[in-house]
Amino acid sequence: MSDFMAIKKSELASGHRNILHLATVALTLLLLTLATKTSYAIPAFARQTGQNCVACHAGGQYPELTPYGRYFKLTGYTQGERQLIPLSAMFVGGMASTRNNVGTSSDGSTVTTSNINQQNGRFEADNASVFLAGKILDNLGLFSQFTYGWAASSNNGGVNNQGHFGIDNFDLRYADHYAGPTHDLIWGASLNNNPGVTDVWNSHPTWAYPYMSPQGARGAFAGGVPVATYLESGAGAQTAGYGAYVYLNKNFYAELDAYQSATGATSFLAYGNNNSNPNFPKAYLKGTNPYFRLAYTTEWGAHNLMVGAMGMNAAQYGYNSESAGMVSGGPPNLSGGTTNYQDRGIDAQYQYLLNPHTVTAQVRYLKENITDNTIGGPAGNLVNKLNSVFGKVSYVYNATYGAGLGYQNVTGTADSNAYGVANTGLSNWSASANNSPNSTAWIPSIWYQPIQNIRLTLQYTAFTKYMGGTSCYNDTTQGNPCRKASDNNTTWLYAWIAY
Amino acid sequence: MKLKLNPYFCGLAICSLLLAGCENLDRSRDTANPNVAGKTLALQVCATCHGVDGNSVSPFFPKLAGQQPDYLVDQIKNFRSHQRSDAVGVQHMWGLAKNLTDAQIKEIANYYASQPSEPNHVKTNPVEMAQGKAIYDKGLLDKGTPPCIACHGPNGQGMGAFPRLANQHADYIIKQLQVFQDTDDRPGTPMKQVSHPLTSDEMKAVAMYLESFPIEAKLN
Repeated sequence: MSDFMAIKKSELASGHRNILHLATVALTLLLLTLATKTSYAIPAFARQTGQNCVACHAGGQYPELTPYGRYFKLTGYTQGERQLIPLSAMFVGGMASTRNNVGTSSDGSTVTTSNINQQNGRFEADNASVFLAGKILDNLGLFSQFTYGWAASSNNGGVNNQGHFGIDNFDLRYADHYAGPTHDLIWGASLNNNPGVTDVWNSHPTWAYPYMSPQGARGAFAGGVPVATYLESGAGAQTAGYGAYVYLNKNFYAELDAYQSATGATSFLAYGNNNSNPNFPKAYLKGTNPYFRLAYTTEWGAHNLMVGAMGMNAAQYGYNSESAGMVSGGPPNLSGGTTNYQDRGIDAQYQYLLNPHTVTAQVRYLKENITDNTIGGPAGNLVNKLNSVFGKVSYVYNATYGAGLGYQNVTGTADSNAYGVANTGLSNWSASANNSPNSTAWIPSIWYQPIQNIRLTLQYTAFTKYMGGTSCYNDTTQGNPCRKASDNNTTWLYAWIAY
Repeated sequence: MKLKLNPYFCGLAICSLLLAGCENLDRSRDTANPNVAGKTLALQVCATCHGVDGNSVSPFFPKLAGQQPDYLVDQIKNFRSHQRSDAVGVQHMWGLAKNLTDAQIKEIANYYASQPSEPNHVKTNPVEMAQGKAIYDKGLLDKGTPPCIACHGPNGQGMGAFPRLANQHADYIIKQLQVFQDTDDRPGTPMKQVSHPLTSDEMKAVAMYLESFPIEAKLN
């Protein structure tokens, strides 16, 4: 089921206390020590260019990129002065509160209640990242992020708040830029861990609003709709991707990547996910899985616009421990067939950037065909379809005060194994009575950025439909009480701190 | 753990190292390498915001095409020394100018100074144009504001340390006038006194007039 459900990026983290973990902690402490000695107590790229966050991030609204920020990424993170220790750190924490936090389960005669989110209404640390990022050589640069999540897993042996450390983003690039009065060509190649991590527009799901969600059960609702396509789910964020791209005359962009299982020398691209961890099993892809990205961009005055298309074909193996309707992790079942995802999408982004105003808007439509050839795999039907619509508009004043409104809508084929009560991996509050994935969420937020390193956000996620229903979407046949879509509405007040 | 090398990864890694194994001075974006030519930095770094030919598209960034080279040298050096500290300049320019050598700065300035300044195609308000031209040509003598033309030239082309203003983005001119008027972030010029009496409408009028150059022909 987890293949179908949104696997939020924040859930990719986890933690065994191994050498790398200890080294990371040590490096983080070192970084914090160094940060206090520099006049630019901002992340690695800003130290490299010597510029403020707003140079690359629209209205300081990271991770949204300005045209200059996109150029910085497309040219391989190489602009500026190479840093001796190109490290940064990031922390996210806050308080998530769901309107109806009481979950129920029933054996047919007795209804048992328990809190969906054990930390509901309490301030908690969510995740912390360490970045190794910056210019390596004139044409070679790196963006890598490893994340520890305090509550990345909520169901390992029933233990809540279990931490996890793992890879989040990785993009090693070679890039070159030919600039002249009549032509402009950027081309490059990338080794990366996720289809879309290479993208420079925030209509791509990898970098789209609301950017973050809390960890584990805390994030069950705050991140929005519970069902996502392959490209939206972040399920590929532990694969080995080899890609190349061109950007011609600041108008035409084309990228092609091939994704494979992160094994052997590239297994670090799935760091934190392995065959022995039932909560964070490594994803295994069959052969080479293509991903493409096309875009047209233009600018006039303080406005810029992108219209684009994206697509991916991914064939993912199931797991040996898989039972009907539930993927519970473990070693891959390499002889049991694959679940094939075919994603095709179109998207657009508009920006108006002129001090003190920043307006950004993104829309996206993704269509997915899922063919489940696995035995007892995540879907009951052989073929399922998903349609996902996303939109968001935001305004920032003086890179300090911001407000945004996001919209997510997903519809798809009803499937009891994937979305219904036949999926034993789902709770009464997450399974659909009519086996439908159809969900709609509105996500307004306001934020305040007193200094460029700190952003305080108040975000509300409101559901007008959840797993196929509005007033009683869940299964009540065994005596569970009705649950409304709006019962899942969640407020998240959080701080995002980066150094 | 048995280490199994992936041939694709090895290929990419080897190619990367071969391709990137040495400096790429012709197309470097390294702002801290004194061996990179100023023109290269102009094309690889400055052009991202100011345009390859210095005619920036976004009014967020000033046009540099046809700008007076002495003025450009002064400004980049002022960013480098932090003598110029207006907020946008600090955010965008301090870091970029930090390690530039005098020679690189001069080359960058000469490159942009040699680019032809392109006229803007903007809608103009005749009343505003006339007001702007009057301020530019004659100043506001009752307020003590001298005519701009005295330093910036009859065609707004500037001279030496006095910048070219013709075809500059109006939004940029207005914001710089506000910096001069409200702050001491751009010291060392007479503009603090010059801009002191200007109202917002007067700033806008003269900025629109300058952005619309060569509108002058139409007015005469």
